[in-house]
Amino acid sequence: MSFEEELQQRIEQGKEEAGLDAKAYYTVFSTLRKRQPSSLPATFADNVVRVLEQRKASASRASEYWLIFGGGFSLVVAFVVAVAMSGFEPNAGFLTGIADYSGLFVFGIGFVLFLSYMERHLLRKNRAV
Amino acid sequence: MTDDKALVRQILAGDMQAFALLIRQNERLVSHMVGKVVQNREEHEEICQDVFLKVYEKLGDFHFQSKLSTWIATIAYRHGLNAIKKSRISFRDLPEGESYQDHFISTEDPGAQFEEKDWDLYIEKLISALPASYRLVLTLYHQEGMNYQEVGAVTGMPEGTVKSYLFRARAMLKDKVKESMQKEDNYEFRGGITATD
Repeated sequence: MSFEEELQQRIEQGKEEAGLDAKAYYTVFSTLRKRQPSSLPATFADNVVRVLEQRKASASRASEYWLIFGGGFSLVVAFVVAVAMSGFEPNAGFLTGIADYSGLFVFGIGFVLFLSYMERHLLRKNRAV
Repeated sequence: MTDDKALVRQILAGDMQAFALLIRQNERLVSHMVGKVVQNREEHEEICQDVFLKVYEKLGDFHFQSKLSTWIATIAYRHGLNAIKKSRISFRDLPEGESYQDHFISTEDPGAQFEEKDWDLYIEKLISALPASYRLVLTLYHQEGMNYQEVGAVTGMPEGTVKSYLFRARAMLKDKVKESMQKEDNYEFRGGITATD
């Protein structure tokens, strides 16, 4: 062990040493032992926790979206497989039976639109008065 | 250690206040670790934040093989190095094959910038001019109270290297302080002659 190493060790152990080298070492050790403050803001811990909570929330939203997407996709796959396996053929069914009454449908739609117009322009005005 | 175990258990159970407490207990350590590797102030806080997010992510894998603070310091050190690699922040470390002593602050020219009477300030400036590995070892040993083994575990350096860096860093600081003390003594001596004249 060199003289320098021994000197450092003795000063670290708190032994009294004389000379300029020892004086310089005492000064260095004194500064090194002083606890330096953190350069981070006082709100640092709260900021990190906030970021973490935001990440957790967005991760759980993402997993919800995946669940919805996965569920929808599974349903489509199940439908396609069911159609393929059962030999199902699409049939317009009752719609073919009422195809001759198209005038009635046009009247019904027109009547509903008329009622909606009356409701908006007459009844709401009266309520406001 | 027991307190740390209870704290970790609470965090793993989802207690965010416990995690905030863990951050407050270790933010100084992480700030120093990152600060010793990355000297870019803008990136400093962001990297410290990433370190704690990583700590939270990996906490379930920590089984107290070491002290909690040592484990956190290891993550901070590695994260600091990765940040340097990613963003190419300048990392001033030991030049290969030559002594750093030659590159250390010269007292001839910029020495005058220092207010040498304020030794703490002067030594802190000297420390910031040391290679990153020396600064790290000094901080972990003196500021964080880690032993050689713990410093080695954090930095991945063999114990002998830790001892050697610590010795050399302190000797370099001492040499500069000694030079300044001598200069100061000479100045006072000359000043004394002028006063008597």
